Amino acid sequence: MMNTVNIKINGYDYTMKKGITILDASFETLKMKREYLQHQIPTLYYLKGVVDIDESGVCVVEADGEIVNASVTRIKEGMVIETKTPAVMAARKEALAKILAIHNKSCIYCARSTSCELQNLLHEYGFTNEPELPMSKIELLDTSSKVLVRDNNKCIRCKRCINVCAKMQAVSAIACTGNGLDAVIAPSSLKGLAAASCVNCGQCVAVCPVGALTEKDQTEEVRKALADPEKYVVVQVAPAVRAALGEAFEFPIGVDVEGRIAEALKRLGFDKVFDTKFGADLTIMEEAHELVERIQNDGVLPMLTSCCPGWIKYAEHFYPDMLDNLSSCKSPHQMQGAVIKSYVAQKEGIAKENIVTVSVMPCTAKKFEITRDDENGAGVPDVDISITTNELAKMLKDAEIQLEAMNPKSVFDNPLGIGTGAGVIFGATGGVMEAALRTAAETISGKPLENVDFKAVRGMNGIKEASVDIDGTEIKVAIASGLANANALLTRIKSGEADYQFVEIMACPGGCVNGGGQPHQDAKTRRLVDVPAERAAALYRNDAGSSIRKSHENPYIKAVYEEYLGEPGSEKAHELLHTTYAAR
Amino acid sequence: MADIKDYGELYTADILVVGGGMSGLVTAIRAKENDPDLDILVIDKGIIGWNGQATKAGNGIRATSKHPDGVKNALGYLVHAHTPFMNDQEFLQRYLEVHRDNIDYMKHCGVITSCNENDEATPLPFIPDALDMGGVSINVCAQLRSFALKLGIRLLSRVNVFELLTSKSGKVIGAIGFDMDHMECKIFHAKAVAMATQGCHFKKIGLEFMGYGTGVGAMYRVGAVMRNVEFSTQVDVVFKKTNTPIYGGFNMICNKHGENLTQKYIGHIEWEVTPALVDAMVKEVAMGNGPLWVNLEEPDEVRQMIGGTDMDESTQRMFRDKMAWEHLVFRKTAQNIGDVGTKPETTIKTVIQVEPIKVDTDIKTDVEGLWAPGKISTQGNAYFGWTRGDGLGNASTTGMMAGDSIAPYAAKAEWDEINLDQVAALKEKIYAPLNRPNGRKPKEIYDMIERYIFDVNKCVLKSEDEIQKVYADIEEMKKIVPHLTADDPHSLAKCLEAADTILCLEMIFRSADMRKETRGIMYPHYRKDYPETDNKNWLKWINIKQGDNGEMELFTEDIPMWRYPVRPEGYEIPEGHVEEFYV
Repeated sequence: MMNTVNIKINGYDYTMKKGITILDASFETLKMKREYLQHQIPTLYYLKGVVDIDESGVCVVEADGEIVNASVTRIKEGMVIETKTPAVMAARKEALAKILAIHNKSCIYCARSTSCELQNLLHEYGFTNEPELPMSKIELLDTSSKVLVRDNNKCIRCKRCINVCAKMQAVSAIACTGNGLDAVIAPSSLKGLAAASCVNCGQCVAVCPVGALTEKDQTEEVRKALADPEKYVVVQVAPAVRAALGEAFEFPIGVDVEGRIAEALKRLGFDKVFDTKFGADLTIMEEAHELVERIQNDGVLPMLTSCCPGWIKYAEHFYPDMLDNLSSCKSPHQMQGAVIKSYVAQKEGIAKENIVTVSVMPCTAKKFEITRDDENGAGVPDVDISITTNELAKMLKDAEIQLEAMNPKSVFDNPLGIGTGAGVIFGATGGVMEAALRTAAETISGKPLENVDFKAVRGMNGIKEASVDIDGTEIKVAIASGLANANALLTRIKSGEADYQFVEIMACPGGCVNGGGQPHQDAKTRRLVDVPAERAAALYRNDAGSSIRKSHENPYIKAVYEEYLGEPGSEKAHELLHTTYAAR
Repeated sequence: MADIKDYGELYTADILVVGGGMSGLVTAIRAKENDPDLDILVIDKGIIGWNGQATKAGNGIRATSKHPDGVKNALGYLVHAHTPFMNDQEFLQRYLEVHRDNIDYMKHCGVITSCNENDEATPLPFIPDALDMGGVSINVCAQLRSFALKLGIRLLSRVNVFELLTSKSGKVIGAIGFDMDHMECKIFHAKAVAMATQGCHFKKIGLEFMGYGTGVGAMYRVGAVMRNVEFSTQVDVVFKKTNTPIYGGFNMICNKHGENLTQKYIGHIEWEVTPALVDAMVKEVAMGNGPLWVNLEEPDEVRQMIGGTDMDESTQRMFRDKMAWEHLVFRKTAQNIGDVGTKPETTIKTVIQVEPIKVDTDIKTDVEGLWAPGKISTQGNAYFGWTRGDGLGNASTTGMMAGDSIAPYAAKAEWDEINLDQVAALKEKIYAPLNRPNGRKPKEIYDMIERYIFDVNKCVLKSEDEIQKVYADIEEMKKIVPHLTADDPHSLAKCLEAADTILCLEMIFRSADMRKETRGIMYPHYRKDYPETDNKNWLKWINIKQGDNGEMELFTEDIPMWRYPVRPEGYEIPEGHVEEFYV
């Protein structure tokens, strides 16, 4: 049996694997080096791993003289495919016209404008003067959530959000009734997204081809704070942001823009520009201490990480019986916020009430996290405003600050601007685990760690397991990213199939680098490039290039403990840096 | 005490590259690869990655053949082509050695080039065993931009600079200009500056790139030497109705009786538009044999070569793109003014192309701290006359050469202090058009250039009388400059550009006046009163620089043929010199 078939696309001959779809074949041609051998077929609903069959009507080609859906039809021997005949173009235009008839074309106000997959197709197919939606048809926005805004008037019924929420996140906060363009996409609760079991991970925002799902824009609040002379506005930037912000400024995927962000934020007018890497190092100090304590004192095991607010809310909804397994540590930006409003306020002599802390996060769920109970270590909220990478990009563009003109060697402000390589890898799945192991290993053995690279916990696999030998003690660890993977892992732990001491869970597949607040990449890019892996690689390069790669060796961490907190796990540390959970 | 920040926003970088087109980006990339510790800032008046002449190019890049005698053969070809013997052959030799790496270096920088399935570059012989040509993506600048950002180079878009800053000793240490959105003053302080600004490229032909010579002007004012400016006018055969070129149409020009002018006057097919052909066209019209038209029904050999089928796939594809472009022009023309048909009326049109900065084999100018990569220095040294792939090939090669030399220079250089008085004076000069009420508009000057200068008898078939007339025209234009008025960044830029375009015009005609002979095709210097090439008296360069009193200073320099390998037939080493070229 031959495993290949010969086909012709636009007059060129190809040998392709048997059984793949015409769309798959077109993606194979896009990998070819010679440009004229590359043939692209447009998609609108299709997204690798999320929606396989593109029913938008634009993903059509002529195969052996028939107009067919390229994401459904499989290639066969001798098939002659044409991707750009007049009939194909007419069919695509007709499909786009139908979608346009239900899509609110308020592009100039839309957060997704310029990175909108529909808009890009319209530019290619030359639509002009399309009538607006009649007022009678306009639906209300769902603004019930603190984090996400759903605008059904822009929804093009691709069902990517439904699939990602159900299949990859095992949450199913969004559901669908009806067929085709008449389908109704709605939260699983009639009262809106906030009442559904939504964990605010924002993966639906990340996959939405248009602006039907967006994060709640809080940039105006930041601008107000910056304009207020009474306020001392402090900003901190999460590790994963530096691996992706560049994409909004036409940087190639996977370029680390750490220094450029520092300078850009100073130009925006923040009083202090800090790096959440520091908070990550602090988290490691507390978390490693907690882990060692649990192991040595027969505490509840496995200990589950608590850095990810999407995962925390998921646990509170779906695993209320395992809340004791969760580490009591706050997430890094909350810890850093608490330190800013206590230690830094005291050092700089500024009243904590006058400090506004802004977090720039790859994450939408952080917007919810800052409003949780017991996230106000210094008596005031740890973090006042949390914006996403996308919102920062918008602020920089509005202020006409060109990220590409910033100096890559600029640095963050001290004392909370220095972080270690261990802090920076928090942005990738497995990074918290690796950072914790670097510190725990030295704490347990009391000897300096020679090889700090724990390669077994790296990579983009949804579930990773490793067994680490530390000075004769075997620690069994597991890592899950994507809540469906977490669900599978926790099921095994609950049933007693697996026994681990330490488990890292991140809500977003691939970790924070693939967070819901990161710049949108279209279906073609996501098919051809492993976007989260490229971003993670930038963080690992940052780590490898750091002079300090273990959290406990960060001189400013040592100083904070010496001057203010005492020991990891001390009473003061608990007051500021730890939190509590409640079943939902 | 005045502070620099009182005058404008200050940017500092070890190396400032002005111009974010292909040569500017390659200069920055090469310098950064030489020394990753350097802080390099590239600025451009447009959006870097989507601006510059390379983004309007014909998707080919020239490179020296890898044949063992490639450099030698290419040198022989280039010295004879277009403007014979006016090259700096020592420069050209080094240029061609670097030129060999063009396609490989572009691939290294992430630019898509023509290649086989193993991703190996597949250059095509252009001049066999001398010059190759590779296909290159039309998005070359966007791809270089990505690579530059990966390396950590800084890119600042939409800033237009008009003057260079100098230290006490005359070293170039920065630049001053304004941003094109808010007209805010921007000041740049650097240890070394590369001006990759392209020359003055003032066009009357459709589909050409427009440049005004502000880079030439800024370098002239800090003392850079210009060379070969007399070879600055290009002609092409165009559709009379649209001014768009009829590529390869110059051998098919007929008079009203249907007589072919090439056959009637020249007797053999031409490979470029020559002054002889232009002269023939002028004569025919004067005899009352107009209108002239192009017979597209009987394509000539040049045209057949372009549209032919006996070439390999990639070359054909490249030419097909060009022809598709032309097809688009035909279609647009038909839409706008009716079908041009296969016998369109034709005329000739001119482009003024001043790219004269003299540089050494490191692309360094005569001014300390100042480099001039890209098109702006080609006329001064390498060769002139552009055919397919030359522009991109030149941008890449000069960028590599400049990057290799500017990086170690900047690493060792000290910071020189900015002179605030100079900044204040230049800022006042730049912003002056904003403060003139009810003044004149730069469009008046451009109209005068088009009306007065774009005349075959001035631009192509020059003579003493006509040059004197041009001097008068230039004086008239110069009188308008102090009255130019602007009210936004774009009209302000236009005012400053107009002044520098006039400067470039003056350089062309002053040196054309001086050169009493005829030489070259395509970018010809043609004197009706001295119609022969005079190798005996005119193997000389005419150099221009700003004199101490601010006046334009012209001086000749003997071309050191005794050091060069390629010499005219019958050349004899002049007295006082000995043979210095040894193989």
